[in-house]
Amino acid sequence: MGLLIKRDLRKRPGQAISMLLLALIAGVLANVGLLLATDYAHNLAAKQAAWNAPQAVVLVGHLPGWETVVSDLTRDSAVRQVEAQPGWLARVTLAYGGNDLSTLAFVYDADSPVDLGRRTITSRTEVPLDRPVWVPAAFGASGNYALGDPITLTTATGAVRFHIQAFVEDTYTGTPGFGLLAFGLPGKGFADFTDSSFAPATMVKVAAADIPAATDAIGRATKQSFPVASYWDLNGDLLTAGAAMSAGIFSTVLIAFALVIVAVAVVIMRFLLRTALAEDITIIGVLRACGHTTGGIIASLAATFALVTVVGSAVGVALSYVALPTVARVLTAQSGVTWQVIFAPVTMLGIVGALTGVVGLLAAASGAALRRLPTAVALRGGGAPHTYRSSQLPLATTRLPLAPALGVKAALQQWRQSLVLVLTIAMVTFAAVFSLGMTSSLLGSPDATIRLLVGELEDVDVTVHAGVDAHQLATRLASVPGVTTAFPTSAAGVSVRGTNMIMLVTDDPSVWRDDPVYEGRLPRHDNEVVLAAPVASRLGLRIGDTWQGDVGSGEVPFLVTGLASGARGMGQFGVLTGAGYLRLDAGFHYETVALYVTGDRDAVITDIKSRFGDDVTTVTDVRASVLVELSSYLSAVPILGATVAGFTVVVVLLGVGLVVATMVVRSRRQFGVQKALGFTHREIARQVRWAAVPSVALGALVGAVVGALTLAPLIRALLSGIGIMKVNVVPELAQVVGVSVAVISLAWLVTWFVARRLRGISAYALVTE
Amino acid sequence: MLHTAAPIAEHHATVDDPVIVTEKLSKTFSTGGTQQHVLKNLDLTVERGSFTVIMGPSGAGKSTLLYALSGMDRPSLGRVTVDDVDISGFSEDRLARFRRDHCGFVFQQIYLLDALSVMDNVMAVGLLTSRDKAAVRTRADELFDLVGLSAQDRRKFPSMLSGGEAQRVGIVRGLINNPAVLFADEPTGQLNSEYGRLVLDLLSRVHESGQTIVMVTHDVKSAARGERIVYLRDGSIAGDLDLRSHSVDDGERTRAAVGFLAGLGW
Repeated sequence: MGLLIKRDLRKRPGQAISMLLLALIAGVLANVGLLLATDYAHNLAAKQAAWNAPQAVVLVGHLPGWETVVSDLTRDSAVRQVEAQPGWLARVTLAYGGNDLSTLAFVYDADSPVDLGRRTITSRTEVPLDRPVWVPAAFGASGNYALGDPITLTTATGAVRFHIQAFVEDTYTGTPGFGLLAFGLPGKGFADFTDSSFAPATMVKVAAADIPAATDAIGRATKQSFPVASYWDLNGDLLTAGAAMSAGIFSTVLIAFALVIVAVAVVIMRFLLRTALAEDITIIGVLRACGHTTGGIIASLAATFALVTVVGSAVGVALSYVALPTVARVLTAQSGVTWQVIFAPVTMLGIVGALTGVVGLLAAASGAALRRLPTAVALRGGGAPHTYRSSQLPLATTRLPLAPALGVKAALQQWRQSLVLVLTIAMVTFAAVFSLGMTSSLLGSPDATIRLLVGELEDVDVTVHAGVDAHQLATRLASVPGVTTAFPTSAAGVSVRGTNMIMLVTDDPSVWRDDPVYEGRLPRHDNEVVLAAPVASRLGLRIGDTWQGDVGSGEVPFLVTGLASGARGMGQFGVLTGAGYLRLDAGFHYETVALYVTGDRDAVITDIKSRFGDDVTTVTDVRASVLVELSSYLSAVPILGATVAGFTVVVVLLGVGLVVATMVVRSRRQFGVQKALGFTHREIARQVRWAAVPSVALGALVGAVVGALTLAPLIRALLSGIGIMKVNVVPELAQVVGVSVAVISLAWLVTWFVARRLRGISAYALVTE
Repeated sequence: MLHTAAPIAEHHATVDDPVIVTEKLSKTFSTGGTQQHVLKNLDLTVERGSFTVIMGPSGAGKSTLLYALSGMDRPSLGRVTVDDVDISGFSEDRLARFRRDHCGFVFQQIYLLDALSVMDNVMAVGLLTSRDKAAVRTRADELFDLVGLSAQDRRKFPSMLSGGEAQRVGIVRGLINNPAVLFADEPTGQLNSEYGRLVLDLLSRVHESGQTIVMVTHDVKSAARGERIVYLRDGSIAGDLDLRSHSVDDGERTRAAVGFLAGLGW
């Protein structure tokens, strides 16, 4: 059998190399995808366990009675451990990844011993620094900061400047995506820290039997002891959802593409096997005549392909470890937790085994037809190779010129070969259209990105000074050049069964530019509410149900009129009218005015600061800030897009190249006859292109249409976990057409290149064979 | 009757309208460092409208000569002129165009394209030289009628044909472009005697209509259909017999051919 394998490899080196590459690509994608799906999540859980991460945290301001939150939690029988970490809190603006990031900043004592939610220093400088600070590791991974760099936190009243002494890994407060960043001050830094913009606050960490128990305990404590909603909270479920979102998208797309590759490889390989068997039928007859068993011959075929697959997939899996550090870096930036890629021999063997098994089984199945073929028939070259019954496109009547007509006729008659091309190209075009569509819809324009991921979002937020009427200020702000709309708004915290959610409040939500509701409608009256999909799902509520809201003064019923889409607060948000919120909190008043702006937002902000300085505390470019928060997630998208695009090119090259090359080899005699009869090399090459390119075009069309039609549903499926249900992504026609044209052009080039082999076919050699 | 160089000179002298002329035609193959001289300084003239048969023992260079004359292969040395065009230095593509315009072929293995119907096999070659599909179709129908293939046969695929039917399609294909010369390489080699006779009858009828034919054969009866036998041995013309003075009908031409070949040690 070894000799037969050697002979197969020597006879078809191109096919062997192509199969090797396909197996290699499948190995790379499958290993990266599976490690992301398994080890990354495991790593997050392991880190959380190692740091004794709390199941839920809440940040409370030092308003009257705040201490009872801690004492109530300590007495709560459901709570296993409570830890309170004092610090300072302010909304700050800081430079991050080349942009300004507006976020809550929590300053803590870096030297204070912590048991719940320990932080790990990933790197540290021993160089003495002025006002040293420990910052989350994400600052190093995606914030463009290095050890020793200065970092400035700009507040409403001024700026605080530190120098980075260490990067630390941190679960809950380590990445901009969660809305709160923690800054540790070592030595005397914390004790000496004072800034009028920072208010005292305490991070309360709770460990309980599980995440719901911890979340409910915080809800009970804040409701009983602390009537005003806490500043910020987060639990393990949301933490994991946020940290794993990109990894989930990554792994889903990569595994899906690996499956596409495997499917393409299977389709191509089946074609190659059938062709190889047809070509070798006489040799097989000779082998059987010499005493080889059919099983042995089939085994040698299967072993040849399996051997190639073993080598290719093993190399692919090994090579994936070259790509994984880059992926790990992107994910670290998102989660704030370093992912040390592990060597996973079981996964590796599983992938190699699965791919090889598929290939081996397919080869064995393809060869099984040999058993029914008598040896004498095999020695004569097998049965009739073709059973043509009707002539499509008769040359006497077809309007096509000769070469295209002959090519298209060949494509129609060799429909199996054409089907292989159609399927291969359809699959890779689909993957390319989806990948490009997803990339452009997430990265194409900031507006589109925000619309997709956040939903409704104003351009500029103006925070009013205490005592200033937001409605009056809104009226005055509306007259500022560049401001098109100004209306009071609020993002208030509301307790829902122990979990805080953000309630977007405005008098008339219909003024919003983007309606986030994907089912139902926005609230119009004071007894109506819209809930984000994850909230409604968690509470088991649907449109027409009653939601009980509570901000500390008792539950108030609201009619659910719609379900909203958006990742704000990781999908934990709702919408109320101003009158509606007053039913929850009679003392409610707006503290913010939202502005829609045209033109230069910075100029408008500067203008407002100069003209309304006495009435406003902060003026924030909200869209820029949100984009910075999203940047760590979005940074994964181009890598994913490039990966899929790169592999698409390779698969098109291999798929089309293999099929066309096999066609040329198989039709060698026919082309020789044609040359003898007066066909030129160019005419035959044109004929070959016409035999392949229509199938490629059909495949590209099918793939592009399916990709375009499924783009929005698939993106929705990928993002629904964080509350994004309204995906109005319409693939751009230019992109879809562009991908199709690129695939067809690439296939044409491959065909052109492969058709050069026709030069080697000599009419003379044919007739003298 | 032994024919040597003298009859060749005599034959050349009688050619008034040559369609093919070779001058010192040589063909050498190199295999594994060894050179094999298959054709050696061969001078040959083929008259327009003639039926020339090339014979000789295996390895004499018959097929090599046929393919050199037809532009299927290029000579190593010397010249080949067809219809006053020197094709010796043509590129592969130019030779292909030359073949479609000037040559028709009938192969021993027939070489029909099995994915094309009978009609399409002929049309594919006819459309190489003409874009007038109707005209090509009409010409093809005339030729099919000539060789006796019905309209139903023309819709068949090659795998559905008998050997004789397939070779008749081969002849129609060879004639579709009104070639200056129809080259036939052992056209009856794979046919039984009945089909072989039918094919030879067809070639004779085609020749009678004025078609120049150059045929390679091992078969004396086939050779006797021709007007001239050129006998090759070791790459050179060992004999050249003009059969035009011998009658076909009473077997005189066959006897002359047998005598000629016997004299050459056939």
